[in-house]
Amino acid sequence: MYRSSTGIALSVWKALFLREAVSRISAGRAAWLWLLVEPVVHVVFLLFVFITIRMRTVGGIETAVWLLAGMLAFLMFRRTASRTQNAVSSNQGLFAYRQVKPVDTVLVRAALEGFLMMMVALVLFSGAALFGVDVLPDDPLGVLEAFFGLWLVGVGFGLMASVGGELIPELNKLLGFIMMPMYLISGVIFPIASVPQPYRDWLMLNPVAHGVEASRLGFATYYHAVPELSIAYIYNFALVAIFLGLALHVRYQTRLIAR
Amino acid sequence: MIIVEDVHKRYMTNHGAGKWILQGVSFTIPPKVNVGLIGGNGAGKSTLLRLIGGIDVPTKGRVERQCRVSWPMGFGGGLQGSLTGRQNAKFVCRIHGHEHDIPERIAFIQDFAELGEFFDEPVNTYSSGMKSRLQFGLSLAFDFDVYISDEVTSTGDASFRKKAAAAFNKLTDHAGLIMVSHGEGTLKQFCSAGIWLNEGKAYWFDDISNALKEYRSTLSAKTIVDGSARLTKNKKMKARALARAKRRQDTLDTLRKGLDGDPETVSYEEGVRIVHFAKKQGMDLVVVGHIARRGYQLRPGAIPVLRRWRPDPYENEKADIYDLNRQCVKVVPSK
Repeated sequence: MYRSSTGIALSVWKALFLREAVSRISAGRAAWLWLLVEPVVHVVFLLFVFITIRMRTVGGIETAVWLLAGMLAFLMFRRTASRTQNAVSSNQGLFAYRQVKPVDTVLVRAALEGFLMMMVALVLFSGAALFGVDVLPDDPLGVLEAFFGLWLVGVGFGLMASVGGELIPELNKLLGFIMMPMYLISGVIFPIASVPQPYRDWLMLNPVAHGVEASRLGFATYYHAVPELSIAYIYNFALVAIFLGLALHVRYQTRLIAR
Repeated sequence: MIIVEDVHKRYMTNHGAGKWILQGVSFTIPPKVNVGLIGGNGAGKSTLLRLIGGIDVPTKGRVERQCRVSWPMGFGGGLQGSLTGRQNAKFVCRIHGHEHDIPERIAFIQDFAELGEFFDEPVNTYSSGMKSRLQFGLSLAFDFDVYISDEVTSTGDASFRKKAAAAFNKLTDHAGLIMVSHGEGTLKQFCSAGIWLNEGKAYWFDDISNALKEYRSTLSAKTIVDGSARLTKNKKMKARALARAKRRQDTLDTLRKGLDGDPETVSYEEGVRIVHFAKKQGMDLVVVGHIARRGYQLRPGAIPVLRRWRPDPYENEKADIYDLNRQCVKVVPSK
């Protein structure tokens, strides 16, 4: 039976996707619950802090919406990035099948994570709506655009990091150092617009900060977003990162499989 | 047909490139030929299987597969521990493009592996025998021209081995088999040709028994000792044989220490024992030092010094193999 390369790749993606989904959702006790718990805990905790300091609105929009939109957008990037970063190393056993290439595992994990994150966002926003928070976005397409851009940035990061981490194991530790302050410098828990120049320009080099702000702007068009906000920057950044990541995968494919 | 051409392989470690495992391996496996890979632990059998199976790439040289080759079955590769046997089986069906007839193939695998209700338990609860049953069933569920087996048959129990043997025999009508096993019986049963791996080189034998003979002659001392002890049934004789084996082992240890490491000086009695032993084993032994002139007798008080015997690099390659490996030690009376 002859199968085209595309046909093989598609069947591998499907198989990998189902396999990843099963192990992500059903491995361990109530694994699916933990997908929701992380953002909920973060948002509730921060909301508590903001209420304590009597901040009802941030940049003109409700604190809860501001936090939810920012947090979920940020998690879209971070979960995609960190799951895809480990895709190659945790699927090493699968390369026993010649059909499975390292890049497949990265792409499939990215797709799964993006899908799950959309589900998580839907659940959380519906939950927030039940509590009376006005979660209906003014510009739904703008929100999707921001989320998709962040997902692409995460994929690009994961593609590069999965190769880099395999070739230079120390790189994983360094990337860990970068991910730690990401939460802060992306403006998830404080408005970047409040940072004075020239520091704001430096913070806005980070594409995730753009994405987080763009997501909030999508929820409320009257939000006082950072003036430097640029959707094009996110997508350009993602494009370059994905291109480099794919190039690395092509160049080092054999090195990733060989032990 | 599988063509292996001048394949070199070494693994990268954290401290740079490791030792060469394979150094210039070349052979061609014709279609529908069953080949057994023979060699000691660490000779590179599994490495060669991985290269043939295409899940690793040679450092130098090339491997050409002009047919459909299975993935190497054995040692838990390709199974995900947190998923059940059924889920793993489904995954393998899917990546092989058998989306439409998954139920039939699953039924075949389930029937072959005979795992009972464990088929729906996570694979990391399996014993090694159960894992190899599953892997074996998995690879048999698909049509390949060549099946690669890395000791899968050795982990199963008697009934499974019988089943595996029947399956292998059925395969040989339409497909080839490349297998690694330490069981001579298994190899002889399934394989016609043999590849003997030794010190990074591969030697092709059209008849597996010749390959086994070659391999046996280089077997380590331990096997010889165990073998002689196993043969003796009588208890008293067994004790004596064990004592003899122990002495022999001591001698061999000395001998090997001398051979592998720096030149070693031993006592006269030890020297006599070594020379006698080497003679009895049909070994050649290089003893450089003060030894008796006549025959192999050692002169009282003389101290033999053992050195590693190195093959002459200018001799032709074939002579090297036979001299170096069949008789690794040479007894030479010194002047």
